[in-house]
Amino acid sequence: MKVHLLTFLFVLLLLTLAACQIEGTRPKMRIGYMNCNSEPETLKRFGALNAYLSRETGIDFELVPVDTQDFVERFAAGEFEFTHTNSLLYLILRKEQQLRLLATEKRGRYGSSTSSSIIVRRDSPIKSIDDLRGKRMIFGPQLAPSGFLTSYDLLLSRGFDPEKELSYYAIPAGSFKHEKVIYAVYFGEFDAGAAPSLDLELMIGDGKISADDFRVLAESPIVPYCTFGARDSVDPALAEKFRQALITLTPETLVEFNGEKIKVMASAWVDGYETLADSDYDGLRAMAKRANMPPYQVY
Amino acid sequence: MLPIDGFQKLIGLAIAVCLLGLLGLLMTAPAAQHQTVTVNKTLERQLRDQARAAYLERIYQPVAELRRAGQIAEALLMLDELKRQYPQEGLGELLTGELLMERQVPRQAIEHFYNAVRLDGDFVDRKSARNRHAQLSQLVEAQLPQALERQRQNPEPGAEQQVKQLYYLQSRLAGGCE
Amino acid sequence: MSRHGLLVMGAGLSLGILGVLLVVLGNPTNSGICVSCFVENSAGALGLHDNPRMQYLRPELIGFVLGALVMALGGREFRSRGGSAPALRLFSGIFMIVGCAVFIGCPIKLFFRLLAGDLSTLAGLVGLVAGVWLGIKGLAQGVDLGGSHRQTGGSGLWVPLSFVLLLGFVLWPPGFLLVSSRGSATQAAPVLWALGIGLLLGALAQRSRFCITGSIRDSLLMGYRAPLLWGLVAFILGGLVTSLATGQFQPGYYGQPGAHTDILWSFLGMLLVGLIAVLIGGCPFRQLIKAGEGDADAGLVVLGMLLGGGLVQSWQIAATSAGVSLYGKIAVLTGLIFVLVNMLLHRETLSA
Repeated sequence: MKVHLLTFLFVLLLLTLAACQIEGTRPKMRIGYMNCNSEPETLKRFGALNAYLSRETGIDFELVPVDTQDFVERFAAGEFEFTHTNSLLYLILRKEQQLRLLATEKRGRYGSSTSSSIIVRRDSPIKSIDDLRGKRMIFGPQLAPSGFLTSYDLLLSRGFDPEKELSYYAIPAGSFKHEKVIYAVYFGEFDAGAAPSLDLELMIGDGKISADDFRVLAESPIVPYCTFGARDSVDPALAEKFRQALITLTPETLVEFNGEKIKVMASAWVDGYETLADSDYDGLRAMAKRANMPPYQVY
Repeated sequence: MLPIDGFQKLIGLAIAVCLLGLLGLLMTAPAAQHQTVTVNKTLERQLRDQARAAYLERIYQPVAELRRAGQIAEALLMLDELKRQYPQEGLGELLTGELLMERQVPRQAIEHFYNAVRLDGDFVDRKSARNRHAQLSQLVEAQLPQALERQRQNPEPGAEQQVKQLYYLQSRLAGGCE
Repeated sequence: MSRHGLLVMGAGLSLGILGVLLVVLGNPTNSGICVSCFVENSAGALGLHDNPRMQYLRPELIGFVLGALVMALGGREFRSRGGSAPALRLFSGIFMIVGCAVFIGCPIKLFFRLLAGDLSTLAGLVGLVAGVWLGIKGLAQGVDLGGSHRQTGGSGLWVPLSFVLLLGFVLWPPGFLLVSSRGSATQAAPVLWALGIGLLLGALAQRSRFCITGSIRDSLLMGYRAPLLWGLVAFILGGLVTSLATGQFQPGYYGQPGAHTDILWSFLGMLLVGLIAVLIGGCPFRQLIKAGEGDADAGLVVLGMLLGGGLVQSWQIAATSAGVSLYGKIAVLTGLIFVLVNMLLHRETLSA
């Protein structure tokens, strides 16, 4: 009886050890995270999420912060297998590198979608898009859908060619470009700005600006928000596991990270993830084509 | 029958005095009332409710004006501002839901309608002046089949939660004790 | 079928028909008669909680007690009795309402919801039967709260007299009585109709001893020979036919009025109710009837129910269509622990 019990315990121990993979002995892969503002911010923001994905998939993921303008090149060079980018970069990578869509991020009132608003200061004499003729406008980063493309396309759809009708337009330098667009309008440096609706929502929620400070001339149609993707050579089973780990996240999900238990979603500033179809990005595709933007630019 | 002793007589007398006093009070109550301030809690509650409704109408007035002018985006931003000052307010959630419907993003509107009804059942109460019974019924009728289909295709927490929220609205619209 | 059997069936049939008719007359959907909902409403009216949507002194409740009182007095069945584990009965009343509030309905409402096509009640029905079965097993194992005995001094009169006072409140509402101006408490049959139906059903229930959990208990013990079973069948048939005839039958699982789909907690809530009901001798409705006929122990249960009605609203124990709150879950489990501990403490073998 004692021998049977010992044998059973030994087998149980073996099975347990087989199931556990000691960290560091697991396969390694990399996720390229597009920098919204800076590398330190990306590392801080996505560290816990990265650790969570490692835990759930059994893969040791390395968090690779990547600047937006370098993203396509570095992905093509094989520097990472999974991607976290804005939706325009997803379109570019899908068209040029056959990136596989995994999950779309939810944040703010539009959930897994986002939009941009063309804003002027409350006391501005500009009342409509037509009034922007000859004025100075500030946009967000060119590869940011809600910072540039959606507002640019919105103007085009109203019969307003920014290249010809505006006296001047600019894109701020450095980081926190979206906030700089909003403040630039607020402080009168520019007549109008292309502000992501999400940033407006968040800044009002934080009390950094007031809804009374601005008027919205127009809001763009909604497009998908930030997106996780995978290289097409990634094992489909792993990609599915990765996707499931994302979409099953809840606000209460915790992960051990840097010696602390962290709430994954709160740490990553997200409200969750959901599955969209590639066809949900067709609206953004059409905008890129109309605006002659990558991946459809014609020289 | 047991003989009545002195103690019983005393108690009986005390009961009689109390009963007489009670009777006297009840009979003179209508006359005495004008000398005292009596509480009518129902009336007080009604006044409070009316004052609250008027106050809410006033603070959300800017949103209503922007909405009438077709300025949906600005109205939504104004609601963000008001939510900072008045969090967990049913009318704010309801207006957000309605504006998102006008913005033609019904999927995102569902959660706000759910929150609105959870916070304030008046929106599904046909007797209430603030009821949105018809509108919410239309929302549920239109969105539930789509949400079920999305759940079927992608059985993930987000899709399941939306279905749950729609079923909750359907249940509240059907009535019951709540 | 004996005369008593016919009386039981008549009581059941009346309960089924009139319960559905009360909805037609204005009571909330699927809640023509719901003792727990009515207790919560009445507790609110008396200021025991501050949910502005659930404050109305339900005349039906008063009718049940006073109807039983009048019938008991008329039939010379009014007996002041009590003295059996009074504190335990008070808390049993509280926990019965907890179980009902978590399910959203008393055993009578469970059947009315089911007869209106609400399939989400099935988990509760299974729980109720399971609770009754457990209670029977407990009794068979010697659990005994002690019998009530005849009491002098008219102790059994006080609760019925309190309801006479409440009748006065209904007919001449004092200023301190709270009345909802919105919500489900505003959905009510006209006062005289509600009172009249309550009186009639109270009288019939007193005479026939009809009880939902008693019917289930007797069916499990005696099978089809149990008169109360036929009363339950008559209740179900009467309710179903009336429900169909008045267009209230809307079969489905999701989106039913005043219902949630938390299967586990529906089961546990009704398990708690069924178990307590067997141990203390009747469901919430039966407790009202017994209080009316002079049972002071039942009177304490009724007081416990009123207290529970206030607590489940104030402490957010009551479930809603969105589901069961954490406090509700804790309260149900606490109730089950309470009952199970008392089953151990009140076993005859322990005290022997």
